[in-house]
Amino acid sequence: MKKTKTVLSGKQLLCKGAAVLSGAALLAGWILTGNTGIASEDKKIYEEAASLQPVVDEIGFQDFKLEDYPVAMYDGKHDYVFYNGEIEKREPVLETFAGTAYPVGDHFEVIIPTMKRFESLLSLAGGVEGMASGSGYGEEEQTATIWHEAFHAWQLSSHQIMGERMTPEDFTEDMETASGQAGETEEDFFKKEVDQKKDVKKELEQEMRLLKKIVTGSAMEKGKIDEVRNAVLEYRKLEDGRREKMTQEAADAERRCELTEGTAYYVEGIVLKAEKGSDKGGQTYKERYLETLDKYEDGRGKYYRIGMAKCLILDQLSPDWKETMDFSKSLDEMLDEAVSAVK
Amino acid sequence: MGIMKNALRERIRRKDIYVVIMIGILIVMMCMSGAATLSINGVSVTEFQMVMPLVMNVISVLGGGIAIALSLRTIPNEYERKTSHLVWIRGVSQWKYHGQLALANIVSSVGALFILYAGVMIFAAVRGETGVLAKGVPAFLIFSVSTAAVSLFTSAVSLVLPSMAAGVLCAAFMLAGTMHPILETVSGIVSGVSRQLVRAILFIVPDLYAAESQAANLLSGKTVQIHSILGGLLVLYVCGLLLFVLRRKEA
Repeated sequence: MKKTKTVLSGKQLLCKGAAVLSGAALLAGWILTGNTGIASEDKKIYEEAASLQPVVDEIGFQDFKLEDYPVAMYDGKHDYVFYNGEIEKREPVLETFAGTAYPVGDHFEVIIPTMKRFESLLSLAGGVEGMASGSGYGEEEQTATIWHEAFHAWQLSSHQIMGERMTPEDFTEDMETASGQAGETEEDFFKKEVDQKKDVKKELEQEMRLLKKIVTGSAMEKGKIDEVRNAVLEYRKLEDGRREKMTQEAADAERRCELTEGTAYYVEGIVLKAEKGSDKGGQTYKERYLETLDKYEDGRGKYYRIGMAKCLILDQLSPDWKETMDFSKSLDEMLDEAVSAVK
Repeated sequence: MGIMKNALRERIRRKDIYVVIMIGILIVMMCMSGAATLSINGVSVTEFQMVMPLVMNVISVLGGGIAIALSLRTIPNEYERKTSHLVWIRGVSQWKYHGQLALANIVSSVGALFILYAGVMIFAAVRGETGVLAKGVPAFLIFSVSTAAVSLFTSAVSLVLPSMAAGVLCAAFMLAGTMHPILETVSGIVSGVSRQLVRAILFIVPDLYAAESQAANLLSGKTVQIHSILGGLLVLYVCGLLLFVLRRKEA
């Protein structure tokens, strides 16, 4: 059988050589410009968060320092842990996307998705609306989230929450037990005893409106303590009346959620306000935090706002409340004490 | 270049371009009329900087779909009409022939994308976004890389697969490529076999979104990642190689 041999002309050889070279150059450029570690955007976010320590110090929670807690950013494949001025790459501790304070060994760490993952998550959660979410959740919001979660890490590491101490070991054990059981979670209590009960839900909505009115009303602005005090008494009466219709476990779950999440949300709001500068920050804070204080949301979300509203009222009635804060009492108990003190 | 010019003339005769223009006008009207009611965290999205990335996302998916539609039948039609034989007897190589037809596909696909993209530029002009307009051309060059790759991939696949199979494969390629970051996120949420499956898709399908998103970054004044643009060009190159490697038996 006769074999035919293709002979390439000089021009063809030149073309093929150029094509191979272009491919090799592209590949080399792509490899060289690749960033195998954490994105510079995420590094910048952590640095920005750390630089806000003086702002958080001014809030007044004693010994709450971001640098005390490792901050792990999860990109879907690895954790990048910021701690002691270094970034360590490791296998992920929590293979899911969540903003949380999480036990790692004998301590708590802040775990958040990288900015890229967060944007993508919001796209998933928000569908078409989420596709434009880059404008709704950006670097500043991510920085505020780091502080929110760091606050939880501090709560868990340094305090007994309403008399209950949760060590990293307890936390891990609880999670392992919970994953194998079909017991009721905090979220279940809220759904069953509040969200799905029309009368209770209606009353809570009324309470939230009253709280917003107190926080954003002229009495707070003008420092009319008596008016604030009377409104708080009215609010507490409504709240206690509603909680009588709930089980003790559900009422305690409410108090705990308000205390832990409300204070963290309060810190988050102040951080975001400081980041955006006085004018824009004040406007953002007003729109995002103050104007939504009465926004009812199924599940835990509403307690973030209720808790924050209570923190803001405490700022007025008892400006030093944060200095002695040890999370042993609920925000309601603290409000009651503050109200009694201004009699 | 004669083969390419003929293929392009056929496109114009088929009036595909008018459908694309209609879609382009619709996008501009949607953005400008306020009919697109969009809100994030309860805040209405009306600012150009907020609307633009959303519209660019929509355009990239539409552009990819149009690229597949325009590129899928070009080469098979030539073979069905036996036009290919007229070319072979003139001693034109298969690679050159396919290459010119694929080039016609790319030009028409990128042209269609430009019509859609012009909608964003008109919107920017109306809003007085002169900074965006100034960056319009380089941003489009970056934006079109992925669409060109989809067109080239479709041309290559249409050489060896029946139309229906090629269409489905190319649509899957385009959608998975455009949704790469979302799939990456999904791979971090799901577990077990699903995670392995999603990760396999991510490994096989290149990230088409990465290059496209750099165009939006350039327009909105954010940092442009050269790595992502080079990645897009690399995908284009590999699709070109695919066209070179895949052959038609009839020839």
